Amino acid sequence: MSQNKYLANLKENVITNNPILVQILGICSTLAVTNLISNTLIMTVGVALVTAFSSWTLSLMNAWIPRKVRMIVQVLVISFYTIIVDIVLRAYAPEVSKNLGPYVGLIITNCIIMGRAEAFAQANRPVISFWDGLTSGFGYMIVLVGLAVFREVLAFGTLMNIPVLPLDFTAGGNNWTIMVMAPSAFFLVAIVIWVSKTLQMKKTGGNK
Amino acid sequence: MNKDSVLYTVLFSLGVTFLLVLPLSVANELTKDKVKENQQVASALSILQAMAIPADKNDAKSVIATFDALDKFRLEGDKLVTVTTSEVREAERLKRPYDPLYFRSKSGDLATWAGAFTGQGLWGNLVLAVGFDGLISKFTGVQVIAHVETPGLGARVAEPWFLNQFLGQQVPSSGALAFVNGSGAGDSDKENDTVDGVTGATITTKGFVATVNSAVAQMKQLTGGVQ
Repeated sequence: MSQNKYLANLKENVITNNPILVQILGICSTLAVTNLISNTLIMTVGVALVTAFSSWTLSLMNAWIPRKVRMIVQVLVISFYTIIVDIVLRAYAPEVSKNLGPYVGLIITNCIIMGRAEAFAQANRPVISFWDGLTSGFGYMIVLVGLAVFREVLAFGTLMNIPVLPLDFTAGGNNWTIMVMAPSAFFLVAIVIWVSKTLQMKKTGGNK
Repeated sequence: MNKDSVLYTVLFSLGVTFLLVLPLSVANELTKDKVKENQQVASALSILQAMAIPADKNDAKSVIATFDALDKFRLEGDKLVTVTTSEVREAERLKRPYDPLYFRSKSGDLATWAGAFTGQGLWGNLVLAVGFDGLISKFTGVQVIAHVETPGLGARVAEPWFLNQFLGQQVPSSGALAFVNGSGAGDSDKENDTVDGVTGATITTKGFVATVNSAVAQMKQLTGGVQ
């Protein structure tokens, strides 16, 4: 029974209530970090961990948090974990930290984290809240990495910086510069949302 | 105590802030030296790589030792004067690391020169280490010491495929390299006067090439007086 609860939560956060596709949260980072897979992976792992630990902490503290300052406390806890990630990267993975630059600090502003704190961690036990944060991060990661695969191949002709398209794709200037830029993610996210909504409606038998 | 009372709210907020900020301060304090050392090694490594001097990036001690063995100068008027190690350590902490410094490595009659040059990227300063052979006829390499460009766009000027274009690249007789829209794999022709730009990062690439060109002009003037 309890195992089912975790599986159901995973399914919900990855498929039926995916943060990007259904909740439309965390769109800023979707536009910004998805033109190279390596940056996308690191960023999404960071978001997943910060979401999980923030939800866990907030769920633990829930009984003592006065409602008036609830959101301030949420932001404080989220910032705490984000700065921890930043400090760890700067000290032990300086190259990654250099590559991601300002984006690590911007994890704080990712709406998914506060969304889960408000919608889930407030009303649930710490362990399942941790799991919920992790699976939300995972749902976010799947969509972003998917976008990054398209964008990196079409923009640079590479996958994880390994060339996969013939050289004359990029040499002839045939690469899609739009894919390098943030606006392309708008189009791609829209297409992905369209497809996923259509599929889900077919499944539930909805017609509108 | 009533959870919604003003007193409880204030005390709770103070307490929770203290509890969260304390470990952060401790973590910052504990990693401060490590972060400083990382920056120092990264800057020193950029200079060494720009001069094509082999260095193992995982061996911090040997990087610093190799770096400390270089001759180091700064400009006073139009003369180069030797700087001390403590002045170099001071420069590492600046916003534009090493900017006023020049480096020379000499084996026999062959010298390699490098300097740190600051230019403008899209968002801010771009500090480059630019290395030359003794005659300033070829680049030995270009490395990025510091930048604040956009990850995935301008920040790609710090990637190997872009920087490798400068390994052994001939210094144009006109003194000015130009960048072109290229294959994305980098320009492997070392005799021409062009390098490939970064797609989607025209302004960063422009600033980068302008900085390299100003480095050429400065180094020609400088070493003309020394050798």
